[in-house]
Amino acid sequence: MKNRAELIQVSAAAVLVLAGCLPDDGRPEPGRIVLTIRADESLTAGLVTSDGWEIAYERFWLSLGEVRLLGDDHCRPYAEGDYLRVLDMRSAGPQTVNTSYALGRCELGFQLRAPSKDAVLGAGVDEDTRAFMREIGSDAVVQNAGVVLHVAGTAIRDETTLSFAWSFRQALDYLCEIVTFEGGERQTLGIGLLGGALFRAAGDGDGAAAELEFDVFAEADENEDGEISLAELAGVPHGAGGGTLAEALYRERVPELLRFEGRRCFVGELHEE
Amino acid sequence: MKATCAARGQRVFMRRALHRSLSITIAIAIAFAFALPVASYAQEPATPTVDVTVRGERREPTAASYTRSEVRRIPGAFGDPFRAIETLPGVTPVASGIPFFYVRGAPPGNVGYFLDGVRVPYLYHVGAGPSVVQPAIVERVDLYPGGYPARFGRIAGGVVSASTAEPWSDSHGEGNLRLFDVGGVLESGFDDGRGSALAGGRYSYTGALLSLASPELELDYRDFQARASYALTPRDRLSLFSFGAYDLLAQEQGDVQEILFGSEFYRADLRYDRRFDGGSVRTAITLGYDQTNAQFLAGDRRNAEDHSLAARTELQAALAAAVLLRAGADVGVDAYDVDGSSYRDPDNPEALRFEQLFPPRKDHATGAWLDAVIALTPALEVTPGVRVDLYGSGSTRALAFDPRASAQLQVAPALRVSAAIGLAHQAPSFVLPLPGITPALGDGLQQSVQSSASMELALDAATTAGATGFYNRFTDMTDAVGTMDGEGAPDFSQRSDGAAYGVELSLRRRLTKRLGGFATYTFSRSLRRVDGEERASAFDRPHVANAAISYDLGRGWRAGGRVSFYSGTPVQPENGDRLEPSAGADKLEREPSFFRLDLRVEKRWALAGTGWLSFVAEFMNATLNKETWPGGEEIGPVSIPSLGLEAGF
Repeated sequence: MKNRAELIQVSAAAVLVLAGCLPDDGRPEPGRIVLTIRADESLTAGLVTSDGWEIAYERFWLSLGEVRLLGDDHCRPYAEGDYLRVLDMRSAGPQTVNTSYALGRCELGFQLRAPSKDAVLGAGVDEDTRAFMREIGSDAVVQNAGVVLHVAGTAIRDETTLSFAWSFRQALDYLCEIVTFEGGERQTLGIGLLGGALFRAAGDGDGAAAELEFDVFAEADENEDGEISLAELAGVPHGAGGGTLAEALYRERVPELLRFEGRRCFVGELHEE
Repeated sequence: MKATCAARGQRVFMRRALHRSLSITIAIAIAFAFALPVASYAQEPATPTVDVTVRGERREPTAASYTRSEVRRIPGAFGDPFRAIETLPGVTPVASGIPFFYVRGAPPGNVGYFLDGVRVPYLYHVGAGPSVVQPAIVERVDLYPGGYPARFGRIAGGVVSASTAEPWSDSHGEGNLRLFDVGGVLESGFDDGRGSALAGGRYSYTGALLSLASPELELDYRDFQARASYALTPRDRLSLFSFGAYDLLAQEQGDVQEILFGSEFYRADLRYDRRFDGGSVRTAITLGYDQTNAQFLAGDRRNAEDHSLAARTELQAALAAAVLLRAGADVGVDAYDVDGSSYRDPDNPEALRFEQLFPPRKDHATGAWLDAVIALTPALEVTPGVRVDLYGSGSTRALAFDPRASAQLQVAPALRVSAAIGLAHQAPSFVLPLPGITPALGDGLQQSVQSSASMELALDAATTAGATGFYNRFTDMTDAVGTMDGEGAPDFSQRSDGAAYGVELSLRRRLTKRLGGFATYTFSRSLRRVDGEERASAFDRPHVANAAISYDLGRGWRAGGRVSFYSGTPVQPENGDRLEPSAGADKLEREPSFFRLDLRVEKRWALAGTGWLSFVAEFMNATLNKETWPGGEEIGPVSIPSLGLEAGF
């Protein structure tokens, strides 16, 4: 009987001591930042270049997301934002990119990269658009990659109408300034898209206020079919470094499309390991 | 005196005898070795002859088994019965040392784990840790790679079924003290042997050691087992068996604890056993609580939990000299819930998928089964069976009808052939069996058709050779890992069809012999069909081999080693949905193959009375080999050294 009592005691103690419970979420209330993107008026109203071309965008799709918060011990993210959205930037108004919850001071980063199969569809975007951007392809600059940015439109001057439809496939990384998440505080921060950045005159430093040009593109229509392709741009020497116009678009102009709160934060190209 | 009977010619270890460092070999000359008390005698002339009463279970033709005594001697298994499963043919590990396996092509989520008929979500602490149940109370563990008996339901892959030792009235205990944890079990009888009480558990102090190297890391695991059993009459016994396990791996960031992995489960099983002439019946009620931190799935810190209540009854009765009827029914209700989330991006597809896959809900399942072991001749035995299950999840219902059949023929005294075929259904499963992480019924049940044919040749009383061919067909599987396409996270909602086929070879000499060991080899292919395209499973490993040897050096010393090898997984296609077509094993580009060496040395001392003390040094993956995960990521080396003391009385 002594053994019995002892064993019952041991059993009860085992149950009470060893049967723990997972800790609850005891984190303090975080701050919230909603990241949005909004294009300037040029995407819907069109733009006029300094050489007299009137450019109108018919399509302007991009795949944006993979929002991340960095900052070692100073930054404490509460949830991950590692997903992408396919956005039609000709849609009116700001569009949400991501909602982040965190505490502390964090560097905010995002990426332009080809959509995954579960990429969120923005306003006016259908599954066909996502599928189109997921299609693996190659051009003179990037091999075997999906579409990061697709633009299409027309350029008109006098009696001449030219069209263009370019799919850019280079993934790009942006790491922006430090933002502060205060507990319980809600903020909205914005990415601006500069529709004229693709036609910025060579050598101009700031895409936002740069002089725009289109003649150099028009002259690239080698087969004179009225459609300017990326392949044709790849045959046009451009700049002092021996590159082509297609490379200039890729390396210099596409990265300049986006501004975070009005400021540049392009870091570099992303390459799959 | 009781012992466990396996089959004719098998070695039976009686626990009392074990405590006297005595093992007795008996031959059981009975046509059916189930639930029938018989007397038998030791056959080895050198061993003493002892009268024993055998109360055993017949050996299922599709089961591969290890006893506790054997498991203790398998290098790299750390004495854990469940870890030993990975050495059996047909078992393909997800990764070395990680106790989740593909069994004949079925993913880890389709492998069911049972302890005394109670389903448990997983068997190991924090992935590669020790088993969640004290090895000392596990008497035997069986692996059913397919074609299992009708009593196992709602599982479409393999079944791992462990049996605890019968309640024992003599006081006894066993414990171990290792570098990273301490555990033990005590049992004693009361009321003149009519009752017995058992308490056991394990506590890890790994966290304290780990914190010396990485103060921000916290690792905590523990488990408990408690059992009280009372014989109401010589034929009636009432038992309460409770057990549970807790695992936490966390990281301190500032003043906040970030959970990297956290899970727990608890069971309380109240059972009533009645024996009658030629049979027995068990009726039981089980309460359960499961919980897992689901941040890795939800993208946010959320706990998924399951409160469960189940009841089952199982009957076996000898209807005639040559017919054993087995039947049962069970019903279970699971209330799944996920604690609220305030801090997640409402549009994050990962979070949305989680909501869709694991909604708060009540699931229920009701099943009934029946089979009969029929001896058509003294040498030929057939077991037709069927089970029916009704599944419900929210407003969704599904009905499953699973006919099964097996047969075994004793061709010659030393040669037995067997075959099995069966249909099995399962509700959608998560890729790994984790507590509380169970998808809703959604698009319906998974299904498998399992078939196999085997032959087993007894080379001598302790040595057997076997060969098995199998072919399994899967429909609507939820094998998100096996269908990984190299792009991003696995899609846990994706369904796929598949097939697996192969040949398993084994040569086994009982590890309880002075020289024991085994060699197993499996050649298999595992294929998946997704969106009409067929390709190899992400964990298709055509060649898996294990070889172990254990030798009694005398004077209490025993040493052993084990080599494990498996071929690499197919190289993942670079561009996501560009699925690789299926191809011959030799035509696919594969990641590097892997092998590891495990070592074990034990020195055992006999103490006064029935006591014993052992010093055990063990090293899993002593060669520190790394392996390559599907997708090309190199992991490891997953190596576990262990020094410990074990003792018992």
